[in-house]
Amino acid sequence: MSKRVIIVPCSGIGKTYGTVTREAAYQVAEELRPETTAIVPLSLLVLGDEGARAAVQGAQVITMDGCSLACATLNVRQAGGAVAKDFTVLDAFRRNKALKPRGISELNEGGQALARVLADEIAQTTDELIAGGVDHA
Amino acid sequence: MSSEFLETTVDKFIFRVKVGYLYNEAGVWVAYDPAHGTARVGLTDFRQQASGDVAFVDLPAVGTQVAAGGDLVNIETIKVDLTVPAPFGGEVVATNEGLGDAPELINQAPYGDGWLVELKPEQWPAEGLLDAPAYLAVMQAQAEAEAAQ
Repeated sequence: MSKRVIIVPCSGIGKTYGTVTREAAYQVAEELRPETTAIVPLSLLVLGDEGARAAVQGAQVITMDGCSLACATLNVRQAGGAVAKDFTVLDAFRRNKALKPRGISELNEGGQALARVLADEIAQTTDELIAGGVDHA
Repeated sequence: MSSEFLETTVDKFIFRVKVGYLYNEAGVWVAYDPAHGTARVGLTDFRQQASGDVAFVDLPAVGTQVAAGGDLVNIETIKVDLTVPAPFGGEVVATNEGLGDAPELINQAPYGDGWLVELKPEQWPAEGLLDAPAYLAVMQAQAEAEAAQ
């Protein structure tokens, strides 16, 4: 598939776990997989932005949710997009108990490391999606 | 509203209080089983919502003796590290091992599968516990105070 994988992180401004998702998204889109991924801000989907809706409708989408409300996943689906894989910060934290995130505008060391864990997992999932190896969730 | 629960809305949040259970002001519920002389204990709907999604639960060992108000269970959520106080003194006779693999049960079913421990009280009835209507009033005041912050 030639289209980029779309990443939609949580938009929880002022929330530590939301910050972790956005930091992970930036790392993937700007550093790890800049040629094959792009970020669509959740806020644009919530506002009904046509460009954002079109972007998720025509692509494989990875969502990252900061809490159990799962706003990113929910809003991608409501916009007509197919979520190929949903990541949650809580699941990542449960697998990496030592990486306790703290901070909001600036993550602590644990939060930065947890964001990197998520970013690496998303980069790998992106590769699998590009290769056609991941079933849609 | 189900007759099984009392319910109140504060800001955009709905909080439920299970009828027939007893409560302390820290947001711990108690369901006493007279047939066995034990009481199941858990977190209230308000306390779990206010604390956020649960990441880890540290349960006491069966056989542990706890004093009223002493540390009973440690819970780590996405917002806070919470120590649940024992609602009365007694012995831990069972713990909810299901929380090890699924700590989210505390959020999903706080009055059911998300229970924490079972205690054998030193004496029953225990002092200082509230019935559901009394706890609802206390909880509403706490929720309004938190919403105003």
